[in-house]
Amino acid sequence: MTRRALADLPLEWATTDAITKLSQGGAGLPERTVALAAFHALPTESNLLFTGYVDLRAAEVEQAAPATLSQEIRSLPASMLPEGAAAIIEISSAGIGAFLGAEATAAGLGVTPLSLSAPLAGASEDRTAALIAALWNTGFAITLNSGRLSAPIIIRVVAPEAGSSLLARIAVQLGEGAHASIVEEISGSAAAAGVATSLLATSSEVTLGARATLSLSSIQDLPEDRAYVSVRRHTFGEKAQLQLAVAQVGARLVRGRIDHLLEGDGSGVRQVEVVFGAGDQIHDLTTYSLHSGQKTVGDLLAKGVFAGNARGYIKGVTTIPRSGRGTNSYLGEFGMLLSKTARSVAIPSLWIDQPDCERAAHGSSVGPIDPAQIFYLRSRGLTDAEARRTIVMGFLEPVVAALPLEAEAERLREVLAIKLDGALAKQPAALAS
Amino acid sequence: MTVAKETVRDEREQYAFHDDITYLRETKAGLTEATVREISATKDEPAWMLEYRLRAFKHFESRAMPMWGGDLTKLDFSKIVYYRKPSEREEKSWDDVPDQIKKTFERLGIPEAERKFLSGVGAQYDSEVVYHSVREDLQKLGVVFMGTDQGMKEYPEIFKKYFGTVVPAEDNKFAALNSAVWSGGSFVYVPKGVEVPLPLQAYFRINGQNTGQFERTLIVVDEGASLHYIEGCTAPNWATDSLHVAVVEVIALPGAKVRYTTIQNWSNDVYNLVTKRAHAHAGATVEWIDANTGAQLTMKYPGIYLLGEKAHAEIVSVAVASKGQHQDTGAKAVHLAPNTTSRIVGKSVCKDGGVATYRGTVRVAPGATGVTTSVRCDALILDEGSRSETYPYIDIQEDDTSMSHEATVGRVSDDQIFYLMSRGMTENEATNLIVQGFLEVFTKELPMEYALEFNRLIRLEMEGALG
Repeated sequence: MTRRALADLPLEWATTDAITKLSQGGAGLPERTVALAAFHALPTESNLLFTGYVDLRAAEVEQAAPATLSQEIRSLPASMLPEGAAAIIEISSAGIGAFLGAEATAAGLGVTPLSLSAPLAGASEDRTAALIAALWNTGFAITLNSGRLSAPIIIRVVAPEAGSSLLARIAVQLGEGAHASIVEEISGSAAAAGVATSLLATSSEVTLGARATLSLSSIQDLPEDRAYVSVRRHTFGEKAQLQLAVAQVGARLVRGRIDHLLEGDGSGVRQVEVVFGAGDQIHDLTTYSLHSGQKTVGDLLAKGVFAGNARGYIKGVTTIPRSGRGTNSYLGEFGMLLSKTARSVAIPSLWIDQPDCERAAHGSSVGPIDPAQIFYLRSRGLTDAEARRTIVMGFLEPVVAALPLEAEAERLREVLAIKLDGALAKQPAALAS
Repeated sequence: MTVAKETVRDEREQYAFHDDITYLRETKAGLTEATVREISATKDEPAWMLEYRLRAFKHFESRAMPMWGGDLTKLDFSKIVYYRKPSEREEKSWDDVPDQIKKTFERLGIPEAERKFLSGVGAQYDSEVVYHSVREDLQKLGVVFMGTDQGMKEYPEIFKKYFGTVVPAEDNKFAALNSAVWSGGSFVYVPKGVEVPLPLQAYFRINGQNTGQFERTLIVVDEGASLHYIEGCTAPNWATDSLHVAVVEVIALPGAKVRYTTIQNWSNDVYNLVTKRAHAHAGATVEWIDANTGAQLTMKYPGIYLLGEKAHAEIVSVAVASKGQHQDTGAKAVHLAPNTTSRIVGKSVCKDGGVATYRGTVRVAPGATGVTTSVRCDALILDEGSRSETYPYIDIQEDDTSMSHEATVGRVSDDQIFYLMSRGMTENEATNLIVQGFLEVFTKELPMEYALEFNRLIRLEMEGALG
């Protein structure tokens, strides 16, 4: 059988009929129609720099049509609210459920269904965004007009079962001076690893008002029979700040795009990304930063560990147009390969029109586990396996430590440790050298 | 300082002249199968070469223009003259070179350079090599340095064994074009264990308007031998587009050491689209030292394929992009064998609306264990309106690779300028000095005479950089 995938879409369910059903009485149909046309017209990878590296063979999702879901937000029981959290929102094939704690209510946090005609910016340029804009079947908006919400908002995204798709949109709007933190947990019920037959597509659309600050963390630990595509687009007002931490651990195929539109003067983003691929996993991740405001800051760090037959493509484009005076931008992509059959590709590109930059730099490295470090740790009484585990976890720790909630960081450490143990156990021979 | 600058200005004019020469033979503008056949027939080539050319021509026709890199939309293949023959044959004695051409190269300083410090020199005028000589003592050792056309006839065994093996005709659209219409270039063979003590130099000159120069250089350095090859390029400014599409193939056999230095200073109407690649066998070292200051568009990424264990690659690529110029340059290191090492240093300067692009690849193939590779690329943007782009591709498929990559883009710092001005320099002189320091990684690799010339070129490019 010839394996068809996102790479040679059209998906059989990306049709006019499907978008008519999803627009439930016609609301948003014009927007979906435009997006569907863009989806069919756009190449899977629109950036010529990266065209040779797109690899989506691991997904076979053309039968996985999205169901029409209720747009209403149902109440979740208070017992589901994790300790220390301000609110919990769950989004799944059952629709959206939410519970807002007292602090969230007092701060004026709003969680509402996303308007069916809400436009999705970027849908005319990016194929994944176009797919979601045309066929999204669930979505909500979080708004915080002002004030500070110190406890995090937990968003649980539950992937659909095999043979179906969930295309979810999450819009976040913070008003002037508002502060919030969000933790996304992206998971699904356990299933055997294999070719992905279920698609999870998410769009995170964040708009930050002047001086707003947002801490956004995402831990993706999907079963390895899922395909996960995501687009994130962050628009910054003056002096707005975003701290973004993304961990990609699960799924058979992950394709992600992040856009930082640093339009507001003095705005900044600090992004840390950890990627752990094992087995036959493929990660294809791109970050675009546009420093169009003055004195904006971009500090982007990605760390990838690849074992088994995993392939990782970590790409970045930092653009500093003429308007971006005083930009301070750094892009770092660092990889560690744990097996002879793993592959790491890094393409950190810079595109600079403004000489008056404070910093415009990138760095990347790929290396094995340093034998001197293993030797040292063994001399301190660790076994070989313990030493390797310690070194890999240490490599990833700067990213893990950036998660705002200690409980989340601890959970990620556990997820990574389990995965690492699995990867190391499978390859004793390769690592014995 | 002011006096020195004046001298430089005079030299620029010295390059910009052109000769009104009557060509012995030239093809009609435009490229058809008949043109390819005509070139081959003129050269009285063996049948296999004609077949090779025709195969390449077919590929050239069917292959799309590259969608990346510089703007090639204005390049009109039908206006180019693909072959111009200025002289009856390749001369070994300088006195026998036709007067007009001799004058050209004398103005460029070629015979003088030969007497001073070269082991041999070659000069190509439009499509044909007009002069080649190699020192007698080296000739006795079996060192071959001649035009590629002559090499094909006199050393058919070596030639056929290696020609087209490093850059196949189907490699890319421009390699196909060169393979179809190539003429001239250098053929170098250094026998086993022979160390060539001084550089061999080739000088390429486009004289005719709308001329395409398609030289083909093949360098084979046998086991344990060593060679330094230098090439320089100039052309007068015709204000209509000329085309330079070269293919350079270098084979460094086990233990050989090859250094290939280029100072490209084409006039600003030349499209410079060049494929340069080397094969480094076990224990061999290949170094590309590549500078690009001229041409309207350069697309050139010297590549080294590390085929044998412990081979080493070193690429230093510098580019200066001024008004109306796009330097799309970079480097490739492809590690195909264990314990191979590579180091890439890219430096670019852009000003007056110029665009400088670094585009590089480091690939470590499965099986190439124990690889160490490092890439450093830095860019200076001297003014608003100029652009710097950096596109590094890093593809690692072995778990014990050690790869590091760093890049920075910045401007000349005010503090540095202020300091130098406080020591009595003008702003322009201070900037010159800083840019020269930035590019020193390149100049320090050159023989002294070339380093001086390169610094003069940079000063010339930098003139009036800060208005």
